[in-house]
Amino acid sequence: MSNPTPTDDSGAIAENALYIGIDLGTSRSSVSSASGVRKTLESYVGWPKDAVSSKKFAGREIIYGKEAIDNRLSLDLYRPLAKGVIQGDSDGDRNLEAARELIAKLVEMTEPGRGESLFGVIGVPSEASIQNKQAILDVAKGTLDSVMIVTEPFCVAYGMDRISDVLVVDIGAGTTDLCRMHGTVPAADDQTTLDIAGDDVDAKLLELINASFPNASVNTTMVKKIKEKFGFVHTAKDKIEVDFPVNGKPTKHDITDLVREACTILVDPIVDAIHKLIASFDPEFQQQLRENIILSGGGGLMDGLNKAIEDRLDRVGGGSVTVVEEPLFAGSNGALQLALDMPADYWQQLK
Amino acid sequence: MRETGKPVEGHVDASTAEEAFNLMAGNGIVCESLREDPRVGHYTSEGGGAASPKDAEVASAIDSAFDVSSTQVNVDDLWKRYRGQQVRVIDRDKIRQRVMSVMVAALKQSGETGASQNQTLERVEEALTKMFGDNKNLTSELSPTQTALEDQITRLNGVVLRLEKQLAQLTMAIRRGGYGGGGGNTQGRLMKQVKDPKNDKVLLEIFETNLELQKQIRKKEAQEMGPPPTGDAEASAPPSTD
Repeated sequence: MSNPTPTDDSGAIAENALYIGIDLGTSRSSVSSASGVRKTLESYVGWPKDAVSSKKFAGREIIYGKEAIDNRLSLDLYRPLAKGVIQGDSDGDRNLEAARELIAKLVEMTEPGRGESLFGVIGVPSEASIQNKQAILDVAKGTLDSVMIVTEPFCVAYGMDRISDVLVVDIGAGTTDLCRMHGTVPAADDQTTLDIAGDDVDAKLLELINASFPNASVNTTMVKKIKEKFGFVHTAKDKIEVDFPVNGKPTKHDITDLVREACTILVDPIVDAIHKLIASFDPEFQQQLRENIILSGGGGLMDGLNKAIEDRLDRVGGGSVTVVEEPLFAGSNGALQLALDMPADYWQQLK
Repeated sequence: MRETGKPVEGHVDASTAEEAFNLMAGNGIVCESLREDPRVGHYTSEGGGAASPKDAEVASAIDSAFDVSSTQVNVDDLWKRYRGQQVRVIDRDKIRQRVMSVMVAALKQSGETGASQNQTLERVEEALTKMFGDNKNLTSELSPTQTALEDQITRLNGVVLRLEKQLAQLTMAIRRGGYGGGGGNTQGRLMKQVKDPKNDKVLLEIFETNLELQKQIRKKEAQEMGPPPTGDAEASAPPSTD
């Protein structure tokens, strides 16, 4: 593998190196590369359970993403990240291996050329501990030649070139990360992580459906798909009707109010956290921060969430909330931009 | 070349010609020319199926025959002589495949008709004679323009790859800054350079944080591995009498 040439002062990019930005998410991971590839993959890794299932997958040893979810009955399925960080291995678990394979797959999806050095920035939750970061570095080292870990909201803000007077709210599946930016790398008190996120919406929706339609057969995967397709907060939408099996027969159910109620559980905790971060900021810049609240992550796709947060913020001084252009890729695009801007000698030193 | 100055043939395992030259140079071997040596394991039957171990044995024998009967020639002379003309080159892989297929067909036919060993050998000999009688079974057409075209395509690939990278960077810059004026970007900024010097401090801070993180990992790894061996021999060695 040949070494890239270091950047010069003009910021020219090292030759023969592929720069990659990765948003390693609990439910879904995204990757953006300097070669223009942008892909997303459900964060699931599965190994065929036995010879029969191995035959089903034509001898492939590892199955990833949606295919793994769809075939979960014939796989030892792992979702290696929980609350945005890699889960530890208890007896017989393969979470670390699954995380390693997931990163390798994401990098493979960028189709790196032969002999290219791979330099990557990986986004992690704001409050990831040193141990969590070390675990991610450990598993990524086998795939990438040089790795940097950066908090997810910072990646989002950097990708938008708005690292001053902005408050980023990154709603993932495992965690909701909030971070206020003031032109430098955020300190610990600039960020906060909420445990309530997309997975909790799924759990709430499942609970509500089970309570309202006890005869309907529903599981978490079905509920997750419904949320991703119809999730909304705030204003009433068209009626949401879905088929659930009742005694094995597909039957239509109206779940409009249930979807809204489940999705709404995110609003109050997010508004409280926003308020705390604004209130503890330099008073002179609080208004600017209030006017620049950005939603990203899969949760940002929920219809009307920004409006609902704005309405609640009215009680504590108001605010303007916008959703990033591409919530699913905002993190990986920002991570890629960081990777591209980073001087080549930094990359060399981290090898 | 060895110390005697006489050229010798040898084999080196490498994925590209450049890598092969580098490997040999690294071992002090001056190489005049390279000849591609398709691996035996690469043989596949005409139907696309994998070769059996027996097939591989035969293919290896054919390869040995090629190696023994081949002579190195100066490519420049050939180039001068055949420049601009269409030439056919001996295709080792093609020959290997054809030999295998005619032999398999002849043996199969003998098996089905219950032929004796002599009859089988005669049939195989006849099949091989016919096969070698037609040059098209042994060679592939290769024109100088074709090789030049292949070189150009390889170079073009490199150019396209570089262009793709630059386009991706440009796209990122546009997404971040947009174009000024003309009702373009709402923030009215000029298109940014990919690298913004105002972020240098931030980049340095991120780098330092990650460097520290890696140091901690290395320290932890070193602790887990335990202290380096003290060296019993050294410990038990008699004290110096100087």
